[in-house]
Amino acid sequence: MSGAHRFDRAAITLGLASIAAVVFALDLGEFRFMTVGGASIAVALGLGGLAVVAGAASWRPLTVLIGIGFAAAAALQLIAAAVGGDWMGGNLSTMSFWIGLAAGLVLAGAAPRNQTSDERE
Amino acid sequence: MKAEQLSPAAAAPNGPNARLIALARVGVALMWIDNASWKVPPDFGRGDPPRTLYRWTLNGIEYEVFAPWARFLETVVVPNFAVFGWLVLALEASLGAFLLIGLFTRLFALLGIVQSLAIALSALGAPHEWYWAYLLMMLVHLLLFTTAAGRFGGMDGLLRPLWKRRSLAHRLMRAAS
Repeated sequence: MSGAHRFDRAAITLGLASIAAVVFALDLGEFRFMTVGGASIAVALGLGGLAVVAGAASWRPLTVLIGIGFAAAAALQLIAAAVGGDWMGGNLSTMSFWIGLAAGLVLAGAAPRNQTSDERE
Repeated sequence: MKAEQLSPAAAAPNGPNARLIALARVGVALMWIDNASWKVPPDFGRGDPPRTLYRWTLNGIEYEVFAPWARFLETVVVPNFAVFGWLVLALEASLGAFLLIGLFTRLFALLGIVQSLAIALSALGAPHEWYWAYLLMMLVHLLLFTTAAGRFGGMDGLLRPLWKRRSLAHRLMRAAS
């Protein structure tokens, strides 16, 4: 990972954040910042895992696609909340989190890259 | 004093301090993310009895903090509550999302100050409220703005070098970050 481009490392970090959010499937009381359960666990692990792979392999189109996937999941979660459904298993906090991941991944995948040595660490 | 000495980059922290700034930004983002959960459309708590966002909005009228604000809530917000509810959800969900990844952080820090002030003016007079909570919310957003916190472990730090042109869009994005 030390040779990865900064944007790829951002994609990996965002993917790991998504995977880490599965901790909110547990009942953490006041510290349960978002609800993750049911289908949202699959979203968090599936898209999060793919984001890590896309970042590690520097597959930029896949990074963008995963970002779009998170945006679609956020939209579905909003619809679920608005119609009183629980089929996504998350809540509006999960939606907010996924919007952040979506924006970050789309930008990480789509941002132009200057292949100079100073952009790699 | 030169202009660059006043810019956040002039005294840019690095190492542990930069990581602590990023940690504080993510922590503030989680506060907004956490509180997006109870702004539930389409009624946002309207009903009998009033709940959640609608209840807190009514508190701003019943436990008046600042007369013009209470009047604004009564005559503009409450009659158009659905629009207001969607705006609050959009703003607070965006605050959580964008502060989390550190994108356009200075813009969202300013919006965080404005929203914290709006919440304070609605909630401060209600029983058992602690006014320091709202003051601290405003101050922590002020710190995120002043430190340009998205440049440390955030997308702003990655993207700003790409926004080099003198075009309006690039200048706006640089200012927002």
